[in-house]
Amino acid sequence: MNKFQIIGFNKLSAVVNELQQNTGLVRFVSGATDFINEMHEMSCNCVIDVSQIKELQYVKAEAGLIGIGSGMTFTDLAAHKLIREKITALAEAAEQLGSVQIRNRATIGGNIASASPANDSLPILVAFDASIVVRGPEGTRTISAADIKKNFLRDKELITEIIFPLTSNWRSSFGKIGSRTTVSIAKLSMAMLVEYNFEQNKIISGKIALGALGLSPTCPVHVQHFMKDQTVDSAFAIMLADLLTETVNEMIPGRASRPYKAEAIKGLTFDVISRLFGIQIQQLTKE
Amino acid sequence: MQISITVNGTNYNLDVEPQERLLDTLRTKLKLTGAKEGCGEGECGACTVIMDGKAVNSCMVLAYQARDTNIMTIEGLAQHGELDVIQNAFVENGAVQCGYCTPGMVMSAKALLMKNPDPSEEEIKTTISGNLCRCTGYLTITKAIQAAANELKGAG
Repeated sequence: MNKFQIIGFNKLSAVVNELQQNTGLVRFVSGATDFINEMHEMSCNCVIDVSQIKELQYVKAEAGLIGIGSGMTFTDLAAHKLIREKITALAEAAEQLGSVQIRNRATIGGNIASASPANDSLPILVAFDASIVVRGPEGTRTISAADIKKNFLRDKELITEIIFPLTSNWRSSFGKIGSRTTVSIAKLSMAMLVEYNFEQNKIISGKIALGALGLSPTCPVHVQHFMKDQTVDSAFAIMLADLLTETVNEMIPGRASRPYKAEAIKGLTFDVISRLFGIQIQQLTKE
Repeated sequence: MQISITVNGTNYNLDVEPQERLLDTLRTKLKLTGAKEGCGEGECGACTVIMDGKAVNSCMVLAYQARDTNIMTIEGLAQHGELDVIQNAFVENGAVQCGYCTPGMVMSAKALLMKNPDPSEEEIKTTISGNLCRCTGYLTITKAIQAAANELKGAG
């Protein structure tokens, strides 16, 4: 078993101070829901517990942006009014992640740091063109969501904030398919973001981030082109589902899961569209 | 290292190891064996306890992370030999078979009713979605939690 020491702080400045002085291999822990499963194999000398740093647990809106502290748990995110209104997809992902017990501990910062291909929050970050702020011994840097992939953090870097654009006329939704309905790891996930004209029932512009298809989520450009200026109706939903089936076939041509995912994405598309626009799934599938 | 932790209303100062989990501390150091180890990876909920008012898997919390927190275990419910309303409801509704999942189920239900005394069936199902039972089929457990909520409402 790997032996490490563990230290905890309740101020971010104290963490930064420790990082500047610590010459060993450092890991961070917050919700610990991934950490404990991996701790016996990981190599590090020192683990810094950031779960009790209150200043990393916030949601704030200012200057056209929403800032989310990396220590926000998924329970807190799912219940937060501003997140439910403005980043609905994130609230939906938060309430589908793990179980009540996991959501009460797991944090968005830890989820992003793990950068698993089946990650639930990354498709949403990518769809929104969000960015994250990381703090290390040498200062602060900002990383675009598109650049987040496994092991993207440098030595001793801690995610401190996630920044989303704050917009008034965007709507978003998230869906995932796994091997069971709850406490499920995504086999396929989708975050849909649209700028919508309600009077004309028309999408001004739209974007879909697909998760669990590659190492990190992708937003196919041809899907964005297709969604532009579309009227939302059953025909649109079916055409979009077919386009996404083609997209999956092109993205993972040799993979054993391709036939399943190419078909499953249709149902996922209908689910997400019906949540986003209030269209009943039966209406869609009958046609 | 030393931590201070309150468990079922009693404060303890304990020496814990960096890799030690809250579940290990409760079971081996405090001899509170109600919380069970099932999967050991946050899937089954048999180790559920309430930490600062929220249900957590005690196998997924490092003991050190529980410093200065308030923990409630199943033993904290039946103080002075008197069963909690939820425990009684489990007995009366036949919600216990082998019993291995029961402490975790009861603690998940307790955390729910502490926050929401009038839960819908959907909310009850969501609450126990992280607690696996391989005997009952969940129907009697859901009924028991609903019965406990009804009794608490009546008592209020």
